[in-house]
Amino acid sequence: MNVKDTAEHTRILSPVSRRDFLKTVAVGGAALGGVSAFGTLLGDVPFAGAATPRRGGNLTFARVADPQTIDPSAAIDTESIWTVLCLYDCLYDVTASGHSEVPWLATGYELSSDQLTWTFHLRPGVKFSDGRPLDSTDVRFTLERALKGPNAYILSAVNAIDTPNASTVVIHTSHPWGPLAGDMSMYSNAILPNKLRGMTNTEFFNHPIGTGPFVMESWTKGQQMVLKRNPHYWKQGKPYVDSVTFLTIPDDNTRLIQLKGGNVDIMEAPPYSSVSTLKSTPGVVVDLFKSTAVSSFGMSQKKPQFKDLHVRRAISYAVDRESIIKDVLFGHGTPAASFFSPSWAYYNPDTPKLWYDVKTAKKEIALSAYPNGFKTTYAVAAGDTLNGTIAQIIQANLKVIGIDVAIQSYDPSTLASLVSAGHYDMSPAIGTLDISDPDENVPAAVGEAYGGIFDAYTFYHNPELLKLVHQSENTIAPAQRAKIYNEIQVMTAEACPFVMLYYSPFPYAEQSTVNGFDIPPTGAYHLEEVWLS
Amino acid sequence: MAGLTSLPLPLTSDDLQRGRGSRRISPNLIAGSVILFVVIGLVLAAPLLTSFSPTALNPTQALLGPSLHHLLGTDELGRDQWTRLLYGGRVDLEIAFLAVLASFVLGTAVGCLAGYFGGWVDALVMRVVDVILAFPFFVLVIALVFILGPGTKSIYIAIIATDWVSYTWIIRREIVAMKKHEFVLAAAALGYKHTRIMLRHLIPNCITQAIVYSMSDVVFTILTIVTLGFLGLGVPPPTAEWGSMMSDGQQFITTHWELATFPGIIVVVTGIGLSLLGDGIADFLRVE
Amino acid sequence: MTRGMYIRRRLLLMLPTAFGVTLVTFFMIHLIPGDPAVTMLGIRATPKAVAALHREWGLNKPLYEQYWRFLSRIVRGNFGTSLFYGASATGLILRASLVTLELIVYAVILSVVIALPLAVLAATHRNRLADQAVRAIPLVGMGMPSAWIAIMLILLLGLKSHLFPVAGLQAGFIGHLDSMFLPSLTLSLGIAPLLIRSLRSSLIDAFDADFVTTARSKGIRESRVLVRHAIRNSLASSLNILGLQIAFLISGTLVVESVFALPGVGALMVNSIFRRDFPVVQGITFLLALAVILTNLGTDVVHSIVDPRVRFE
Repeated sequence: MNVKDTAEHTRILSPVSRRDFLKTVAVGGAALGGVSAFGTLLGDVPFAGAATPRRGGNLTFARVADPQTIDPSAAIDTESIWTVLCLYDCLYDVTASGHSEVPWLATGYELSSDQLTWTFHLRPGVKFSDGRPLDSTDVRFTLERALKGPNAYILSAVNAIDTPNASTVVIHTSHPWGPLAGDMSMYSNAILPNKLRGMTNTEFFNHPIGTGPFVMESWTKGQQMVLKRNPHYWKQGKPYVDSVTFLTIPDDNTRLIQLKGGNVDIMEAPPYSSVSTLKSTPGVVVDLFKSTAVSSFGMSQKKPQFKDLHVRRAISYAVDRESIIKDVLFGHGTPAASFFSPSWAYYNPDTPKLWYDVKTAKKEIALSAYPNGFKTTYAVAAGDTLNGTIAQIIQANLKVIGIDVAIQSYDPSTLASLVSAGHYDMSPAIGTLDISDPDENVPAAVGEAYGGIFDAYTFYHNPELLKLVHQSENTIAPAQRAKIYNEIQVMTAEACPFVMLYYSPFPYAEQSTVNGFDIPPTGAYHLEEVWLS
Repeated sequence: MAGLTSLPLPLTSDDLQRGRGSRRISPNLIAGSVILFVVIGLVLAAPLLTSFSPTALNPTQALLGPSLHHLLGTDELGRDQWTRLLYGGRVDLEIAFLAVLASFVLGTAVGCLAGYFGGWVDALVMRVVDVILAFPFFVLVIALVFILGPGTKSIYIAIIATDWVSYTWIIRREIVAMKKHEFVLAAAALGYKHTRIMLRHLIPNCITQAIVYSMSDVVFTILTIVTLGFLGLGVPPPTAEWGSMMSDGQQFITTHWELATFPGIIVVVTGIGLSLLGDGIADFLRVE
Repeated sequence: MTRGMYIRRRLLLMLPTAFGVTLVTFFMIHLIPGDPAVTMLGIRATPKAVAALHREWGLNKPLYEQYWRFLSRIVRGNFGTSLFYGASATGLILRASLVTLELIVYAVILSVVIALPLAVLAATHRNRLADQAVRAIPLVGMGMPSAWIAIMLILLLGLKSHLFPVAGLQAGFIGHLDSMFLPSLTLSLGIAPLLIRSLRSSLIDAFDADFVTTARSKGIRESRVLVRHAIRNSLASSLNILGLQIAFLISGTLVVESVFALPGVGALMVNSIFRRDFPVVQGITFLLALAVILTNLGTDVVHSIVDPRVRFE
């Protein structure tokens, strides 16, 4: 049976949970590329292309939060990022596996022999939603604009951008830069028209112009956003639906009711506790798409206890990940060892597992400078029930090795300020990847950027690790990068600057009339492929 | 707690007369005392009424429905809800009673000084009272909890900082009215010290108003603590507290309705007890 | 003191209160730890980007200068630009106020619908069983946390019986009526007990009043006396008392809007505190406080006009 790479997620129509399924894969010794074989078990699942797509209709999509912005260079939250990618396109796009990129607005590139000059060729015939053709000046404008935004670090190696002709863009880097093609799939580099067609930022983003499948029709902040079909979209015959309505419904139960009542076609993030009931609801399909999300908690190196390697390792050994996955995720997750998820390129399945083992944990704490334990805190955001519950499990786990944890809940903004200054003991963090190259996160996790670890600053400093991170960026050949990244994962796991918890999926629930909804691990929706039967 | 205006005062100073009338022990007073006695008794006797721990996790027993073994079932971490309900009351009731007591003392003292001395002290105090009463009290409480950081101490401070003004307002009004009464004027003419006049003559005669108000104030304070807990700004986990139990239970509303329902019921019952007691005290102090 | 002097005095006293409100509003939000630029740019923001935003928003200036700018703006009714939405804070607040106003009006109507029949029943059966039962309602109602009422209503009327939508705001008049029902009911269940209490006692007063006795003696039917005279007068004075509850009502909307995901002032307020959107938070707290001050003044003045017994001290 021919199952495309796009089928690389579990469609829950059978009682096989994602967790069992990942076990199956692991037992089979298959690497992640083998996951698609699972699709054969599912029989009549209507993958895109299996039936003739129908044109027309409005797709109602209920989301947890409103996007903060639709300016690609300013977006930081997932709702903004995924909305941006409905309106604009990047030069490259992430493959369904999340492990590499496919040509999108570009058709390909050449790399010079000194590895410093990248020549990208633009796809002919692409038009913006106002009907004007895409050319190289648009790309140059976009990248230069992105260099001033919060994600400028992605382009830190870029020296100069040339436009020898309308369909060619040449990017010069100051040193060899492996992640560049992947970086071109970053949402903050999504292509805007040159000089925003002479408009100011505010004017332009009230009526944005892009090459994406949809155009923004209206946006009532905090409530809903309506997108309609881009008549000039470069993919023939797409999108299938006439319009998309994004509803902002923060409350989980409400989104569920709206879905069950038929008011909503797709709902984001059904709570894990509801997944098993939803699966047995007729007319509703639950998807647990593979995601790049990696959950952990960081330990600030500004606190003396956490400078002690044995303390950090003891904590990792003391945490019962299976219990967290069972009680909080209701089984919908897998324990994590590497800070790369299996959905990241270069994931190393042989990363050492410092998992639940009370005996080893006690041995490690005995070796530390704090054999009798100590008092510390775990800071979570107020109202974050998921992390609040996890915190209580960790609290109980650490008590066993004599570490007395007090849970503190701060409002999210205060927590962010405390964490970014390193003024915390332990705090949860989640890392997701928006491109196919791990370099978006690695420097932040164990390199110099931002004090280390995704979103929880540990300020962990290891010169050896740092050297490897630089090497991974300055190397082009994938085989060599794989070796470096393997070593980074092993070294990080052994040093344990943060405790890896679990990998979790992107849960979605849809009406069974929704076809072709299939998102890559980075989470972009690709609604141009969706049709309603 | 909801600010003064949120609650019609059950009595005016005309109702609460000084002097020796016949005191009436109303059914309200008895019913209120009994309910409150039972609630407080249950909460204090928690260790005798349950063998479970309110905080220890028991993952294998997660989300069990009500049974003889677990009267109200268990939560997602396998903790017995009946146990958490009892121990949770300790937190809510302790904070509510102590915070109201502190507001009562502070507010009465300030109100008495302002009312008695008048002049610029009074003007200043009343402007502060006006400003605090002008804010929807929740906005102030939430903001204060944000400023002070999480924890029980912040909750105390936030509640007291917004609540004392009610007592100041009540007491000052009473004192201003009473200052003109003959017995006060006489005391002043006899050359008694200000403190003696205030403590011996004024406060005992106008305190009943504040006492009656304080009963409903405790109800509102419990609601405030519960709402803070519901918003995730209350007493940090794993300590059981009625508000956070409600918000934790909300996610299981379709499958385990009992988790969010019972913490609310106990709050309502406590409220009924306190309101009855408040009415009963008012009846008792009112001269037939 | 005449009424004119009284009103003038009250208006003058409002000035220091309003000034105090601006002080508390401004310094309260600036005392809260947390940086709007970090919230906006995410935790990965570079110090350079954060500093640039601070400059753009004027947050790098000393506090007293920012306060002065805030003060000089409000005088012109301008609260500045929302840091988060980049739109006029005044516009955002006004749009959200409409939702909240609708919620409050709807809730007041519902609570009258609930309270009036009960109060009439109690007042006409004074000290009998019906009266005792009605008098017990405020005891129960007063102690109900609104978050809990909301959950229970969602459970009973939304999830179990699918009678009403449980969150969000639907379009159109019917849509509003439908989707605002549960939130308004939640809020009204908080108000109704107070209303029952005051309606009952003012109805009883009205029955004893001269004009009702006169109407009765003129041979006007009992039900007509009730409707034409007693109820109308009592309702007016009870709603007046409700006016005094405005601060309480607004506090209630804060929780209700959060639970039901309504885009009103309460929800905007909570979200803006979380985002440290200073201009919006300052605007809302100031306007809310102003609304409370003005409503209190308004009710007092109206009361003094309606009730000639009021003396001006």
